[in-house]
Amino acid sequence: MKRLLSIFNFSMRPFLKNIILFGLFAGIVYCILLFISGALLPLMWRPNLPFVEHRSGHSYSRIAEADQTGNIDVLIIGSSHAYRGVDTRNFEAEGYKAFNLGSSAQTPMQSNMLLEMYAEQLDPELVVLEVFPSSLSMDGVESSIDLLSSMPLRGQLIELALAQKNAQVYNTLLYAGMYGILMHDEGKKEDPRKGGDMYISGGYVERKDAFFDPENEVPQPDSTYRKEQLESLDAIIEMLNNANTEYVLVQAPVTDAFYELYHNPDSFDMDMMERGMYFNFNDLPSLRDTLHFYDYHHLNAAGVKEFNDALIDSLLAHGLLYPKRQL
Amino acid sequence: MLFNSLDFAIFLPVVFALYWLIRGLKGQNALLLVSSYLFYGWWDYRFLALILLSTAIDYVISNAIHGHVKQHSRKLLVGLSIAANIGMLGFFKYYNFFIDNFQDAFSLLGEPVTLRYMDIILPVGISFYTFQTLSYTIDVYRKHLEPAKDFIAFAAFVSFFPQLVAGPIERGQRFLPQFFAYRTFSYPMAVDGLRQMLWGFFKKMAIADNCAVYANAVFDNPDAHSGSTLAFGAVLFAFQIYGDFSGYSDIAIGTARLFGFNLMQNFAFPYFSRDIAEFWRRWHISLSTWFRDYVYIPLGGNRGGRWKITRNVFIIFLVSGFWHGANWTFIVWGLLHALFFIPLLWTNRHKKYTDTPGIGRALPSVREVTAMLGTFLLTTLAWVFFRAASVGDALNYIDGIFDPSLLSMPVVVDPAVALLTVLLICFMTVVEWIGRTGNHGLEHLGLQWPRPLRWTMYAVVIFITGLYMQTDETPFIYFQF
Repeated sequence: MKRLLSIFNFSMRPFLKNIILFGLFAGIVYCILLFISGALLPLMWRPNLPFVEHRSGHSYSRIAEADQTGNIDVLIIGSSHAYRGVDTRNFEAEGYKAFNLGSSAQTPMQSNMLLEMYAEQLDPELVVLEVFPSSLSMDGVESSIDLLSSMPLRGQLIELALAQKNAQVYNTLLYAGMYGILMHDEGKKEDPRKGGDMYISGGYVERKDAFFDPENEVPQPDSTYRKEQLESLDAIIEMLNNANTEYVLVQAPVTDAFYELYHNPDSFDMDMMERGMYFNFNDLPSLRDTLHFYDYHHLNAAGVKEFNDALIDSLLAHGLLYPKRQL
Repeated sequence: MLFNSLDFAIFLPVVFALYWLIRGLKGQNALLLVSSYLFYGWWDYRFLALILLSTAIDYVISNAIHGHVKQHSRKLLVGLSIAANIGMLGFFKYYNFFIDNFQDAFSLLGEPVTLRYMDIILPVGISFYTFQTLSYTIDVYRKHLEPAKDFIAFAAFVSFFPQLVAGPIERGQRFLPQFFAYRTFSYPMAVDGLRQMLWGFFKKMAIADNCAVYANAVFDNPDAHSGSTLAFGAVLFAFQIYGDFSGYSDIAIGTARLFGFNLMQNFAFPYFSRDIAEFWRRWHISLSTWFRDYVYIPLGGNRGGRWKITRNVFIIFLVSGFWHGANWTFIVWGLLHALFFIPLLWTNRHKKYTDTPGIGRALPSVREVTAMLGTFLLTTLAWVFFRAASVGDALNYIDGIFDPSLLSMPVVVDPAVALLTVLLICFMTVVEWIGRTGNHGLEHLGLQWPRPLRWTMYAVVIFITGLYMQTDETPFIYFQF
């Protein structure tokens, strides 16, 4: 220790002092420039700062609504397949209070975090966990950016962002912190209608009268699962088991054109079945690519109705929802 | 371990702190050796045995050479070292290439043979450290250098982590004595090392990785692009490889300076060269001078008649090309540079430009700009062979450039990001032009400014890197060599 101090006191002291001072100085300059860039530059000129307050997918409205919601029967969570695929009004019609906490490109890492933040408050009887192969192969960056842009910074969100090790996420985290302090307007509401999307209270985003064009290119899905995503999925299941909350894993329908490109879908089904009750709705006979989807992997409003009816039937048939609980 | 990774961001400060806590030379060398092996083993620990083997061979042979008086024995020993090092390099890097070409040659002669290919992983950095140890043993043989008696210090010299995997390829004469000299912490040296690292990170992360996005897209599918897009892709590759490799060298040299070591300059703003001869005095200096000292001069160098010198130049460029990889594309790349160089040699103009371009002026003259652009275009043309998967692909690419569509606007997937990349290249070029008399772009820039202004400039470089870097950790191109 004496040696350490002697070195730091004499030969390296100015170096260490200046390194620390420069680190602080550069940090401040970085934050100022980041703030100016976020406020003034269009999105395309700041590729590593993709913060947009009201992004597509309505996460901002959904999170704001989730903060005011409690004691629900069914919580739906997952990617855009969840919030664009499950209309909570279909559950309400059957007498169940439901909330959809899906978000853009949400992976199990973000689902886990959102459940940690909201499970106690929402207190669901049943959690419908939407899963599909790509959500296990994504790094979760897009979803973290979406959530950082849409909700106030909280410990779990910061922790998740820091674990991401990605410049876009770090910049968005920094900017979101500054934006929350300096520019956030509590009274500013997100427009429920954006492009062809309509935000429906309860978390669902509806897309009507839009149809998949089979001429459009369908990308090859990635089927290399990430270890951290599988671990997060298992952590979610463990959390729900510990809380004695019933859950079901659900794979929402995608177009046949896309599903046919999946590499070994049966293997994914087996993996999910090992983790609990699991339904794959990609064999729903009533769904047609050109009638019930608006792009290669998202249902339109007509498709959502078909899917949700089948989902509710399955939940009832397997005793995950009880008719006696109808309001 | 990659320089541009979070692992290195933790590794470096820890090793730095431990290093300066140890006062003794032996302890510092031992720490450098352990750290270097850890740094290398992070990628693949199995190949540490190869470094150790190469180190042991040259350690034993160099001491044996020193102990022998008879020239015949000394020659035999140095031959053994050359055979061992080139043998290792040949096996790991060129085995399948030679098998492939033997088969083709026999097929052409009407005697098809089937030889066995092997699934060989190329150990990262093997071309660099084998050349470093080879030069050391040759220097001992030439009596330019006393052999190292301390194995730890010698092993640290071979495996010194900042330059282990992609150079600069150091010489024993210059570098080894630094492992035996008492090292004290130097504030100006460490601070300049950090500046050089900063500039290296900028060139790698903001320039090279962004250029790579477009260059890869164009080179991977040249038939789908217009002549102007192909030309744009080739120019971006020229900046990609410069940003990548000179960025690596800057980080390596800067890191070494934090530990009190001076590595040789590897790049001296080569795209400001006014002819190809000057380019080769400024590009990958440690390799070109290696070939000059250990191949060109022993072949006779500039002595002898015109044809002998021409032969020597061709040999050195071909060997240099082949050093880069087991592919005819690299050989053609070397050949092209030889063809560009020979006219200068024959007209005795190959040493015309030995000064700094535009010295004493803020801007280059029109003549200089023309000369620089001409040299840049020649090197870019050669880079097409360097980047293409085969000679046929390169010819196809060049054929695609010289098409009427060369006069159209280049088509890129994301024009805004492409424009940003061009602006970043302009920024780098301006900074390097201003700092062209130094060892790196930021060496002298702003040193006379008040500290807050100078620090703001460094912070802006960090910010630009953070805002425009590619988000994936991408390996350096020269790792594959």
